[in-house]
Amino acid sequence: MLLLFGVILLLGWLYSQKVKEIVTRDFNEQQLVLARHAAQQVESSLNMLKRELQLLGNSPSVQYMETAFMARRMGITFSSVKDEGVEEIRFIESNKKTHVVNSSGYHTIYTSSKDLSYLEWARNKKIRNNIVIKDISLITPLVKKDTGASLVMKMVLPIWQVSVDESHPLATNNFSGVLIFTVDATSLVKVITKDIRSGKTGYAWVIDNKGNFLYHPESEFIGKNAFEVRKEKKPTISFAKINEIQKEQMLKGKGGTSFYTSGWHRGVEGEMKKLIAYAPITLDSKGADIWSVAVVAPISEVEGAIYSIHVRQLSFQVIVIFVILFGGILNIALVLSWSNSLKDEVRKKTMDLEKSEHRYKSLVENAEDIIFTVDHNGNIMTINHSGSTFFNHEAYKLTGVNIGELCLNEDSAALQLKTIDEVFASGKSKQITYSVEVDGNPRWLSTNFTLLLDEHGNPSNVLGISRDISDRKKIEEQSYYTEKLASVGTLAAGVAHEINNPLAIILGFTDLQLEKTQPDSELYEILKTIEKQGTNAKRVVENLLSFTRFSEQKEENVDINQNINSVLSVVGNTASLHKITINKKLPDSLPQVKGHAGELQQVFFNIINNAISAMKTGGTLSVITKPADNGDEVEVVISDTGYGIDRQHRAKIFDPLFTTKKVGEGTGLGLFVSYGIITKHGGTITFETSTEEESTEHGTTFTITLPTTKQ
Amino acid sequence: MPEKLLIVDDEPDMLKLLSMIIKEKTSYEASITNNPLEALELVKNGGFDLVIADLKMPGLDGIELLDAIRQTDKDIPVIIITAFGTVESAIETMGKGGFDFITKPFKKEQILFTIDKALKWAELQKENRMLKEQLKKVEG
Repeated sequence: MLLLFGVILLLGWLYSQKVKEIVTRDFNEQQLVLARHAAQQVESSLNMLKRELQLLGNSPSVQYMETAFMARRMGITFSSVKDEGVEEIRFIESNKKTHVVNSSGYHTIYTSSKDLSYLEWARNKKIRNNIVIKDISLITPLVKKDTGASLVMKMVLPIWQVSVDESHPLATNNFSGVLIFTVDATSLVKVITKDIRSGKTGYAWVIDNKGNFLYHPESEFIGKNAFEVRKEKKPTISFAKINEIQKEQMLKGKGGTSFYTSGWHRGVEGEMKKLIAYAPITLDSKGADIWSVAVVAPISEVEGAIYSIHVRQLSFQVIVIFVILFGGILNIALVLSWSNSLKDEVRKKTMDLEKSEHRYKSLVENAEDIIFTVDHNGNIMTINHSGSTFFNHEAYKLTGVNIGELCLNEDSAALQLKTIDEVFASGKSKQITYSVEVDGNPRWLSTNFTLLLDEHGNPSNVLGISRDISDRKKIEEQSYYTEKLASVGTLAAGVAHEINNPLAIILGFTDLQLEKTQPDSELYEILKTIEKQGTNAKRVVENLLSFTRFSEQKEENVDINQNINSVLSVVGNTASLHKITINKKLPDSLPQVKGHAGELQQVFFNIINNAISAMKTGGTLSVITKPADNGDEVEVVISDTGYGIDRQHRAKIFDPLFTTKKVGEGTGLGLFVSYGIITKHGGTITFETSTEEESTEHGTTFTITLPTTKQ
Repeated sequence: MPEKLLIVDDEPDMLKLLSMIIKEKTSYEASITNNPLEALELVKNGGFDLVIADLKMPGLDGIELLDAIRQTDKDIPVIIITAFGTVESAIETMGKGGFDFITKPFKKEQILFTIDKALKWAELQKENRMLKEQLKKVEG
């Protein structure tokens, strides 16, 4: 940046130097034009005077010195040239009579010695034909009050009698005299040069062939020698340069431009540089006598312009630099600010995205439903917390597992994989219900499969949302089971009625006939056997009926032993089929309990049925009833020698719908209902169990206590 | 003069058993029919002291028969016997004015006891009414 700054400043300086050079040159060229123009004007004024002089000299009245006419003729000429600085016209006759015409009019005077010298100069025949004015070198400074110092010069013409007229038809060629114009040279050049202005203050001055000032705005300089007067005025300043210009250029009739050091300008004092342009004023055709006009101006004229240009340019540069600098800074600031805001925006968006992702992840992870994704082959890609909890595996262990492997059976696996295929093919969601295996137990899932698309809209995965509907399935099965039971009950009741009618007849007739038969006879034995078997049949039917209509019963005093016998008679066949020995201790002295016989019967049935189920390969079922130690309760202890209850199931056995039995065999309601019934009766139900792994004396013992009627 | 009983059951063997029990164990006179509509006619014609009817019969079941009998005779006791014993049917029987409800199979003692009880009750009812009528006459 600093380098750039330096380069710009250097370029600016060089540029301004160049501009200065060009402007200076142009300025001096203009001054030269002015100088030349002035020189031409001076020359033409002089030429005009020469012509007038010639004309007057050609006049026969002058040549032949016819006084009367000559005076008039001189007067005419004077009147036409007096405005050009001619102060006097003098004709010096060879006979030494001098005629003078000036502003005072015509008169004659004696010829002075000075005039005589002109006369002598003019007699020289060599210059006779050169009818040119000869610059009189005799220039006399005069002091005039009104116009200040002036230089006057004499324009001299020798007069020879060469003209012819009526009076002088033949030229005599005699010498008549000399004709002189006395010209105020200062006035002549002043008219032309005084108004010259180069720039604002530049002016013109004129020097003669000797280096004397013909004209200078500083009036005291007029008439003085240009090589000396400056030194007199300012001795401390070296005027070598201007002196050289005057000597080598101006006095030698050359034109051109240059500069020099001066000590003043129009009243301003001090050393200063001045520009000068000069042009020669040629006085005769031979170029022998030369004046020179100079137009000068202080360099400050140019520098003023240059300065303003320079200032403008510098200002412009500074402005440009500042604009660039400010623009750069602004740009950097904007870029920084934009970058920062972009960063902020990105950070905010990232946070939003993270939040959103976290929210969705949290939604998925905290969802009660099992949410997972699988690939086209049914391999699990992701699974949420509910899923890993459900399958009782860490989520990472489930990743990559084929979903079919989790199914309970091949049908479920095939159904799932087929559904995934269909969802991939059709893009439509599909809901299916199937069973899976969790820790060896069947569970039911209702799953909605939805196709997921990648960012290009191509099928990528299938999203599965599963709901554990095992409980619902169990309730459905339970209601089916209950309905089945109800219809079986209805059927049993109808059958019981149909059986009871013939039984009543059989037993009735047997009873009548027994009375008529000798007790020790064979017929009597036969009739007794008929009666016994009929009574057995009657009891089975009664049990069946009581089992199907216990809800009709009201609270009453219940004989627990009888209740248990009723149950055992129903399950007796099943027990013997499974090679189960029933060991019962039902003391007669057992107090009765208050309650619903049917409900209690159901409790005993459930527990005894479970005990039988637990002894697939046979065993012993013990049913013991006894008064409790406190005397206020009856205790029923039902124990089996089965495989016991697994440790992980022990806390759940009274839960509704919990079962370890196969589908259709158990409802998961038995112990739950039993617990409810016992609790309702004010009793308790507890169990102790040990599995084969835990003890050689494995099995389960349920202990039920029920308050007696005494309470 | 022995009391006359009417036994109604769609099962002839049951009619035979009941009539045999009554004949052998009591001095009552038993009439039987397996047609409940005929039974109603017989009751209307009068002369019976007790009706024993099965609950489930084609045409007219025991409860309907009881209803119909109550339309004509308010005093005659009706015993309902059924092989399909439910609390609801027992309550309905008693509510309709049935004397008792016996479920099959039954002990003959049970039925005989119920018959005696019913006849005594009917006798008492009759006496009671006669006494009331006499009292009315005396007072009148």
